[in-house]
Amino acid sequence: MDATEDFRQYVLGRQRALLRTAWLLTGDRGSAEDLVQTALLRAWPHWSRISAGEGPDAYVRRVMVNKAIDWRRRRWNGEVPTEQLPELQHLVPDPDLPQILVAAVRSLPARQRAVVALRYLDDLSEIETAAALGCAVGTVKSQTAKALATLRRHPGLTNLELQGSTG
Amino acid sequence: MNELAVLLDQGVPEPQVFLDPADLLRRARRRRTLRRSGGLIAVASVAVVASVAALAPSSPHTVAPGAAASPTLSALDHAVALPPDLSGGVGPVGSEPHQPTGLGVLAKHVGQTTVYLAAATGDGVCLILRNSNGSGATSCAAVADLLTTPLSVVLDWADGRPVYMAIVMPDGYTTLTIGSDTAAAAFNVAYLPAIRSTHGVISGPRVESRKVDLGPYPLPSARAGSSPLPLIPTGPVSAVPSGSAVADLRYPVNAYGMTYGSLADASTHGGKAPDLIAASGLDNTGAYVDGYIKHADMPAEAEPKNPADAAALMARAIPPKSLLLYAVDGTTVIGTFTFDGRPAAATGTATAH
Repeated sequence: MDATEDFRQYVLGRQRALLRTAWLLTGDRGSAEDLVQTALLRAWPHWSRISAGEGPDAYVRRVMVNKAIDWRRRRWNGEVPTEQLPELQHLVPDPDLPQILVAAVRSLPARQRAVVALRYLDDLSEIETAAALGCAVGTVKSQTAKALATLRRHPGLTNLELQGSTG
Repeated sequence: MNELAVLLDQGVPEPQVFLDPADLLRRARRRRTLRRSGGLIAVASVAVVASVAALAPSSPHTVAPGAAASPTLSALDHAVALPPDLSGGVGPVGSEPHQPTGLGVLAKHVGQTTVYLAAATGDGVCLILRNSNGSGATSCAAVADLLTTPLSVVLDWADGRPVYMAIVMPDGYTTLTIGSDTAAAAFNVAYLPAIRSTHGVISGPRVESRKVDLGPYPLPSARAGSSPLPLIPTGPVSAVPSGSAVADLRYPVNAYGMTYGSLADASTHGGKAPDLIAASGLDNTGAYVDGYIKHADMPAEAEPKNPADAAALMARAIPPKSLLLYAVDGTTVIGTFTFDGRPAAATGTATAH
């Protein structure tokens, strides 16, 4: 299979999964689509090398995470990450825990958010997550621990068993 | 899968297919074409720089005060230890992943401000501005982000001192450092919806929104897949003497005596382009391939004689032309390079995504 066809198949097969990760990283659908497209556009010129190496997923995820963090840093949008999540009173009575959890994750600092997205949405191991983030496994562990600690403090998530898993 | 994973899986929407691979490939190729044309249009900028520099008395090893010549990243091959008060940058660098390493080169003098190009951690590079009174600003970026298109720097002036320094990134975002005497924080605020633009809008906290001109600040274009330029020299370093600066670099020469290298490095070679100019084209299978085009093959219109010619050239559309793409030996044909001769303004219409 030539590179063009391989890229075509990858885009068709993986774009939905990538968009879900991007959505959790960026917080909105439009930015998520931009993020996925940006990552794929960056990947294409290097496709032969990427396909032959660690695989497209690792490369594309790494670009997505880096760009998401980069965009968040560059865009002045009033978004302020915090270690103390605000009380989402309007969400607390909502029985839809997944939505509360997603809102809480999107309030995490960028790297913690990325760790949660990769570890728990993409189901990557700590080693794979470290590779995607370009950091040490220990950093993944510490970022995961911080993220979970923050999420546990959320009033709408107190009943959840938010346990970090090893991997 | 634990409860967190299950809930996240439920909470994140299951999207529909939204990307057409064929459309994505067209855009990827269009993006490359635009960037190549941008690189060629840089010839005009180089010519302008060279002609302006020729007006000022200067030695090849010295950046004269007020000289229009700008350094390229390759100047960092000759980086030396910056003075102690500059080694960590001037002003707030913030929590950027790229921090000055303490090595750099004096880039240019602009009025009473000195601009340094500095190596940075994380494969980054920083621009450090220092005013005569010791105030200044620092802005850093990833080298990888700078390799594919020229970087622009904006200096906005008030009472003879720079107030803003903005680095326009290739992806269209503007990294803005509010520095100098007026502020103590760095914000990244402006968004440019094009890869290249002649104007940018700067706005943000404590900054009144305003439109500014973007001056060209060429850095070497790199071929796809190439490694980041080495930022840290392996040789011994020494203190930067006042007025010293970017070395007069020489292009490498192939076995046939032809010089080769990036066109964007021409500003460090007296405005002279190499015989073989680095370019990315297509091979006979339609795949991208890195190689060189011959300077002699380039459209004659791409080399203006003076700034007025350059301005006219950049405003005029040149019919696209296919050039042979060679290996570094200058004789083996490995593909073709299409010179996209759209006017400069057209390069600003590309979306950055």
